[in-house]
Amino acid sequence: MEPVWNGMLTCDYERSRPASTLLEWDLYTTSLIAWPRVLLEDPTPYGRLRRPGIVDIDEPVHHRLLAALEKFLSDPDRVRDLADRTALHREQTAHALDQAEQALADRDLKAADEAIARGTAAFLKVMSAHIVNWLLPEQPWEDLLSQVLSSRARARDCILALATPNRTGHLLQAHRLLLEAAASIRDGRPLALAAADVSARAGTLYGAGSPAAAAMPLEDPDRAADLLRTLSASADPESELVSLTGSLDRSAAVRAAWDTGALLAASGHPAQLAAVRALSAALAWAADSEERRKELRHRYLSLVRRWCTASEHDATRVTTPDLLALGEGR
Amino acid sequence: MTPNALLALDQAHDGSRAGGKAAALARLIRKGLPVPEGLVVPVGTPENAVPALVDRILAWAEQRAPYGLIARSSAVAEDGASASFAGMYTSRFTPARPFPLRTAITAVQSSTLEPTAQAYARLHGVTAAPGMAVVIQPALRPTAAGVLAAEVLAGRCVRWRIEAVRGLAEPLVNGTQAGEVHAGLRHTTHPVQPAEQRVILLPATPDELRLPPGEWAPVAGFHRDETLAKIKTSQEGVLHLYTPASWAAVPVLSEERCQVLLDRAVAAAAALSIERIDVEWAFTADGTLHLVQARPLTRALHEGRATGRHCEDGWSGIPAVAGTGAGPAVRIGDGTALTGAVLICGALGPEAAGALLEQPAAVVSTTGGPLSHTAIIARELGIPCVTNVKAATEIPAGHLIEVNGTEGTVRPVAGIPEQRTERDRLDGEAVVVQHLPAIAPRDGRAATLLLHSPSGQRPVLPTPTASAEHGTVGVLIVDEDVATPELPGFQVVRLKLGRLLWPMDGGDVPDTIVAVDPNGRILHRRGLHD
Repeated sequence: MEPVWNGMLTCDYERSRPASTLLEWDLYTTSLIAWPRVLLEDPTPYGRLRRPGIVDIDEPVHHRLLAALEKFLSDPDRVRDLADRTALHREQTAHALDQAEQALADRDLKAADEAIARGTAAFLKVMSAHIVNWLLPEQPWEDLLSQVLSSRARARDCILALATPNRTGHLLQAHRLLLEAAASIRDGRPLALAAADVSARAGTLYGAGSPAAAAMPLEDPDRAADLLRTLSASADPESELVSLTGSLDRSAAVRAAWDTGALLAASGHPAQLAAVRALSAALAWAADSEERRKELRHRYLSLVRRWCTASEHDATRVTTPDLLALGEGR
Repeated sequence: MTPNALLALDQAHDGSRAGGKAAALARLIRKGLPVPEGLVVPVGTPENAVPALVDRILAWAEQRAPYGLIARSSAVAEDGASASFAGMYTSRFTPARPFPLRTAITAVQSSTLEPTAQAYARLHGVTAAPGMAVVIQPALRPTAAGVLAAEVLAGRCVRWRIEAVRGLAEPLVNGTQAGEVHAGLRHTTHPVQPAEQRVILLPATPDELRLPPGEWAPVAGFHRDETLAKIKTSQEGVLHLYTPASWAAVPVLSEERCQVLLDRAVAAAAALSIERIDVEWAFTADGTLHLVQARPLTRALHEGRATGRHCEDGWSGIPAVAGTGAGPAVRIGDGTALTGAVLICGALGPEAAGALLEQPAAVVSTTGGPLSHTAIIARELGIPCVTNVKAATEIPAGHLIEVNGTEGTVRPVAGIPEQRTERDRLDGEAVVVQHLPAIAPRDGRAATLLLHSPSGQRPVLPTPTASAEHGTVGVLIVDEDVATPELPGFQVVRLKLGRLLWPMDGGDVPDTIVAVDPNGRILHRRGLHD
């Protein structure tokens, strides 16, 4: 976000994501403009599109919506509801992508069109949940916890610990998948099967950039097989898995300990207790949103790229309106 | 000449009327040195006389100032041999229009009353009258600008330091950016330290100032090579542009231009009859050098980096994972083991997960925030982490550094401090948990209290088996709207902070409760009856 200029804020993905395709910019800008509707059920658009990749937001609108978000995130029931809705949008996206994958495999372009349209609509909502990560009321939260825990340093430690996802983050999840596949090869599973599985489940995540315009290296099962062959022959995937699981258990325990500490500190003050419950749930929701969105985004972009190839579209020019329109009139 | 007449800068020899800065510049002009032309609003010009002068200045500026004007302080005591007043007074870029120019002139005039300037004067024993003249010059649109400090002996610079940035020197002078540093001692030239400059400041045309953030504006390099840069914002007549990526690895100043600067510094020192000189300079796209200020050097000439965004003895970023860790700086792929080292990285991908499982002491990322993927993986692995340390790319491999993930700082250290490993001592406190651990800890606790979940979720209640393994186990309910569950064999103790279900045979209720992390560190302690 650029500084306020003439009463206007600008969000410039053209600068922050210069290598993106039109679809990638579109996903960001459309979901950015729509976040008040998706999260708060407030129809006010968060700004307007200047051109692909750039959104201008009037300063009063920005301040009003941020205040509304802060209030919304101070209510634990509403945060839980938001987390449930976000999870539903993720499930809807994943389901539509599964259907589209199947339709592409079956060369059923009509079914693929419809599934991609559904997946696009659902994924835009997932993106809206992710997009507010940088709008979270971090300072009021730190101020509240500083008061509750009588220490700003402890408040910071607490906030950082609470921002641990409920489910393993995508980087470790992808690595765990790789280790499990390597271990399964040592147990006799055929390399080709393990590689195909890794390629399908995490292939879009490995490598620099995004799979919007070109495939990521491990989308190719042969390259996944090369990696797995090396990993299963030279490393000790079993002990690495144990180490990874231990670390994850420990980070979950740290999160639970800080959650408990903050709740104990706020106990006896119902308003503070509710605010602490709400911020704890909101931070976990934000971390989960960040991690799960990344997995879905790469899966979605890869799928759309392959759909473009199958249906003779240009993956660098296709937009979300194009994809949403696939579901109309059929 | 009337008392309120404008002075031409090249005639501004009298420091009592034109101020120290203008008088020094006039001396440089007389010696043929390249100083941008200008006018001076003399000391003592009353505010009500300024509007008439503004009209004359604008008439003078009509064909001279495509990028507006700059109004610069020139106090009587400024740029003296013992006190420079550097940064104490105001300078203002302004569009060449009546109201903004008038405002800029009066703002510069009134900066003589700034408390910091007055305190500086007292500290340096300056008793001269606080008169303030204002130098008005066309705003330059520099390709590079900066400062030069030098000691001159026998017609050459024997010790020097040049700091250079692209565009205006203001962010360098006020310390918000670190310039490219060229330094030398006699015949030795030190290695060049690259600039840390993400934003270039340039005076702009009225049309450019109407462009919103996100649009593109032309910027010129040396040899008139022009490229486009993204507008971050614009204010007070100045465009703030993101440095084009293609310029990231291109030096700001060539050796040849450094030599031109050093030669001019020698001439300027001679013109001012001084041996230690401090010069502010600018190169425009046609290669012309402009001296915009020259004064005696009043501070020690250090060869190390003097300005920049570094914290006092290191770097700062965004706190991402709490805790501290120290070790040698390493990067993935440089062939060094990561165990016990500090990993310097950008945004991490899943390829890095294996390396992070080698247990580095800490992670420093050049990008991201507390919810970035790098922060989250470090958090999941319990590795202290600071993100968004842009300057971390400069940390040499093997350099010993300490990372404080709570404060968001990275500091050089002489040795690796011992990590605290002992657990906090529990002495009869009850430990509050959300779930009973698989293995009952033997840590001196008096009891374990299960924190009751809020309404809408199943209550977590102790079982006879759990009590047998974990000793005394109670239930703490802190939410007012949660019904008290029926638990045979338990009594309900009402507290200010909620309710406690305590075993009938559990003995005395503990006085103190704590929350403890997996390392045995007490995160919060309070009285149960508070």
